[in-house]
Amino acid sequence: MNNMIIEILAIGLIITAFLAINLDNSIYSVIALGCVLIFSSLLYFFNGAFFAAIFQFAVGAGTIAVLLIVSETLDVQESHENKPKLPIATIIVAVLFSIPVLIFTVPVIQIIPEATTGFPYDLWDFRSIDVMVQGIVILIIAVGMVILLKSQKGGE
Amino acid sequence: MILDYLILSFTLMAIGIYGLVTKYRLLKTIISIEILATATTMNFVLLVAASGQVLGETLLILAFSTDICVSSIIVALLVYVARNYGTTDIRELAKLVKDRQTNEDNQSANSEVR
Repeated sequence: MNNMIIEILAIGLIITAFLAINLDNSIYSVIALGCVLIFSSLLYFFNGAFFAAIFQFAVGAGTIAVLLIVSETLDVQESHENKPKLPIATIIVAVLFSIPVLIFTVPVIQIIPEATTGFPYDLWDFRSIDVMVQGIVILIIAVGMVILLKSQKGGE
Repeated sequence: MILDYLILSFTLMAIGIYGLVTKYRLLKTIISIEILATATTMNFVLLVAASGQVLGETLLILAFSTDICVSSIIVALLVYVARNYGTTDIRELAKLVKDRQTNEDNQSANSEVR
C-alpha cells in the first residue's frame, strides 16, 4: 500500500514538473511547481524524513507565494495572449518519462543505521555555526535585495 | 527501493535541464532551477532517510536556505529586468542590450567626428 502511494507520488511529481515547464500561462505553471514541491514533501514524509518534509513544505509555500505575485505582475506587464490549450501531449510525454521509475530497480546496499541523539541535539551540537552563518547570509541577501529595488525606484 | 529514487531524481534533473535549455522566459528559468534544486535535495533526503542519520537531515537546512537565497536573488533580478526593459524574454533582452551597445558606439563615433 505504502509502495503504491509512493509510486503514485513519483508519477505525479514527474507529470507536474513537465507541466510546470511546458504550460504557457505563468500562473498555471507556478501552481504546477507548487504541486511538485507538495509531492516531494509527501515523498519525504512517506520515507520517514519528517523534518525534511516539513522544511520542504514551508519553503515551498514561501516560494510559491512569491512566484505567484511575480508571475501575476509579469502577466499584466507583458499582456500576452493566454491560449487555453489542453496539454495532453505534455502529460503523455511525462507519463512515458515516469515509466523507468516504475520498471527499473537497482540492488540496494543495506545501510546500518547509527545511533543518533536526535534532531535538535545534532542541529545545535554539530551545526550551530552553520545555522548562525546561514542566518547572517539570509539577512545580507534580504538587505541587498531591498537596496537593489530601492535604488531602482530612486533611479526612476 | 532507495536507488529507484535516484532514477526519479535523475529524471527530474533531466526535466529541469530541458527547461533551462529550451525555454526563454525568465520565470521558466526560475521554475527549472527550482525543479533542479528539488531533484538534488531529493537525492540527499532519501539517502539520509535510508541511513537513519539525523545529522544528515540537519545538513538539509543548509541546502534549503541556499535554495531560498538563490531563488530570491533570481526573483529580485527578474523584477528588476522586467521593470527596466519591459520584457522577460531572454532573446529580446539580448537584442535590446545589443541595440543599446550599437547606439552607444554610434554616439561615441559621432562625438569623435565632431
